[in-house]
Amino acid sequence: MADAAPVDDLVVEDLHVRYGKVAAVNGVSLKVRRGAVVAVLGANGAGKSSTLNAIAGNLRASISGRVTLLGGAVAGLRAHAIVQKGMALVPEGREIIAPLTVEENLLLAGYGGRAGSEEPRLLADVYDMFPILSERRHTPGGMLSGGEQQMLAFGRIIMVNPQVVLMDEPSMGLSPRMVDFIMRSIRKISQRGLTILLVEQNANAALQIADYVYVLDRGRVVQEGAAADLRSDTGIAETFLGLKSHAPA
Amino acid sequence: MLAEQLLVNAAVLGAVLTLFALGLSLTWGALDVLNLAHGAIFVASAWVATRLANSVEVPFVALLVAGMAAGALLAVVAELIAFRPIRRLISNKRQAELSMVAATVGFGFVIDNLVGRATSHQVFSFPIGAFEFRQYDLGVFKAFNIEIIIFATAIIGALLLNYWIMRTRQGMAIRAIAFSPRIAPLLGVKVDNMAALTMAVSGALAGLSGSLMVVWTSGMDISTGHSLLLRAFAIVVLGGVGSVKGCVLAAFLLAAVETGIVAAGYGSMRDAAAFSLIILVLLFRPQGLFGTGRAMRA
Amino acid sequence: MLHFLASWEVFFQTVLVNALLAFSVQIALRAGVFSLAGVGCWAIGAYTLSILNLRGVNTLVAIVAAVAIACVVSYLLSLVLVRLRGLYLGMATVAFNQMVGVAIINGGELTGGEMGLYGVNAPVTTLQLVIVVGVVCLMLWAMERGVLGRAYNIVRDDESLAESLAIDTGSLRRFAFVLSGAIGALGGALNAMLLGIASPTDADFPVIVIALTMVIVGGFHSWRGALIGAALILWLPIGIQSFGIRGMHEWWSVVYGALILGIAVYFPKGLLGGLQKLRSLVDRRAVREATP
Repeated sequence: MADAAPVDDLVVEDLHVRYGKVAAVNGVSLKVRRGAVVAVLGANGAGKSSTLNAIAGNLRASISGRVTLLGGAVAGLRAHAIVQKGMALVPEGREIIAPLTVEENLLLAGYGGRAGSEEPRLLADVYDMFPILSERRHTPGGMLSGGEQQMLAFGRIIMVNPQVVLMDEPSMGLSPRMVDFIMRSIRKISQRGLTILLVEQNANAALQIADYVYVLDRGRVVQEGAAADLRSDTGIAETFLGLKSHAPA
Repeated sequence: MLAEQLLVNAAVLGAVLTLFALGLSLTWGALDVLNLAHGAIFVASAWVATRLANSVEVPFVALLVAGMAAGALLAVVAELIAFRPIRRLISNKRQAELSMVAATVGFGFVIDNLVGRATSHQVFSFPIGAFEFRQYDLGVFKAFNIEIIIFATAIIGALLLNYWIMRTRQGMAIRAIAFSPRIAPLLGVKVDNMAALTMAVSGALAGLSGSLMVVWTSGMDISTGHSLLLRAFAIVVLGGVGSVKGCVLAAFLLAAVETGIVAAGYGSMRDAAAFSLIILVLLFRPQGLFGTGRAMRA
Repeated sequence: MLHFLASWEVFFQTVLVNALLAFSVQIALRAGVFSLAGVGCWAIGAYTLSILNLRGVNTLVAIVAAVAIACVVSYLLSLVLVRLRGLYLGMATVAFNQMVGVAIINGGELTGGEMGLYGVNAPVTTLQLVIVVGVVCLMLWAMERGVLGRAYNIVRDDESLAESLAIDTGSLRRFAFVLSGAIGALGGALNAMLLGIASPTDADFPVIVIALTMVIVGGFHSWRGALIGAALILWLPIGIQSFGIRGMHEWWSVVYGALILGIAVYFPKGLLGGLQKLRSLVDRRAVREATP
């Protein structure tokens, strides 16, 4: 999908993350083009989550490297400042504010984010995209099912109104049918013009919707390329993603 | 003493305790912060109101506002010099709690001594004549205007606080922070600002209760703050951390029990009521009457 | 207390006795048990000794009785408060201390009510104090080493981890609780012997503040911290006053409070922790300079 003048919304250069003496991320560099869906894949412990959380300012660790968001440097900024600059994180495990209702969770995101006067329209959009949330709008977040919580997490992102969205293992703990729905929702969010960087262990699911893919192993990028290429390169798929060698679904 | 008058006494004491304990419960429930300087802030604010009344002729409301402002200011200072750095620098929960206790004890100590110096370590009281006392006969009992004011203020204060927490955006943000200080910033919530705001409200409540109490009683000194602090702790524990209605109920309950004990002639055992309450609640229902149970973690 | 510090020997004795108060808090905190009940036991120790001494009981017997009673009380208290942790436990023990105070004030003839007890005649020499405190230090030192020391560290830092390692956290915590009470009572008894009186203020708020401060300032991870803290906190009022700056002596309490505040926030492991950090920094620099 080549554009006339492709713009990189997010550029990460030589990211290092250390927890004490342990290096979780060893010099990762990646670029996310505007409007694209970029997936970071790899086995457990490859450093995917650390990378994502470090970019989002959601990590208490020793971090070095350059992170450029929409042309501005954001490395080292606190999480809420990064949100104000246009990048938001959907953390692993959804992390819904349990005692708040669905609507309160959404309004809160509108309050803290960049919605401003757009808030009513964004709220309507969320309820449009996820009608179940509209039905359950007065239910406390803690009483939603896993899939509903994921929807709420996405809804919150829409309310925050960022340009770049980071997602940490969105399919975690969901049934295959739900995973399908979630991946399609991510596509829909991308179609709103948002730029998405997602981390996934479920390589199959991620490859369905990604435009570009990075594969991480032991804190380093070992492979990158257009998703289509990776899907057909069975060698890579087996070695790093544990995928069986058959044609993609 | 007539039973009706005892009722009035208990009601007013309960009202003062309500406002004071709400301040403690707010920061404890929202920020996981136990402000042991809350009592010192109470006394300092009362002193400020008294000094103002001694110096200039202002309407009573102005004195209350001054007290609230003083309380809010001191609480925000505590946030800036103690709680914020602890949030930043100390990640271990146990360690943070310990440091918080020590830091607020130190801060309270400083405030206590400053007030002590200003009052020559004597009991200070509201200047006579600065407030016009009037007694009303309400049929069943007699009540002074100040007593009615205090009671009404407490009820209104509790209702306003509840509204703020449950129905406004700021309240949502504060509840979110209370649930997870990690997640709130991911939604763009400015935790530091909210923390400062919460502390300011908490301090204002301490200041309000202090300014009201100093008019009602014959005088107070530093030890009043200590005594109130322990009772407020008992109230918050009994009512459940973070619950407004629990706090109100527990405050009036404790006030009733204490008034009863004193009236029955066991004045020196009055403080035992609060302490016994703490132990009993922690043993049998640690989350309190209306607590969420969340705060009972290690 | 300030009137007493006329001579350095008296100061030294005061430090020794108060070190026991600090130890009682430290031993509990070090085990992750946020208990300030040592202060209440300090009062129990003081009064038990005084009451027995005024009735002619042998001093040594009285001391043993004081410690024994505190042990029993602490043990029972530990059972009652078994499910509590952190702040809740802390405040419950403060409530216990205040109860002790109330009991003392309402004890009528036995405890001398608000006035306390006078005329305790059980002199103690500095050497005896040094020996007693030395033995306690030795015991604490032994408990900080080896398997027991490491076990306590784990219990303090992560209780559920300790459980999963089959460490009997319940017993360890109870033991810390009881030991805290025992040492506190010992200190209280010795204090009563030193001053000749037992007073209801022995269980009061200020004592709790001082005990906590000593441990925070010194550092609660080791008995050495408690000792440093006790010495420093007791010396501070004199030290500040003797600086002689005009008017400075009036502000010593402000300095004192500011000091606790500063150390609690910026040196959570106390001065001892700060010293250790300094030493490791120096060591690291030496290693770096030694390696090409």
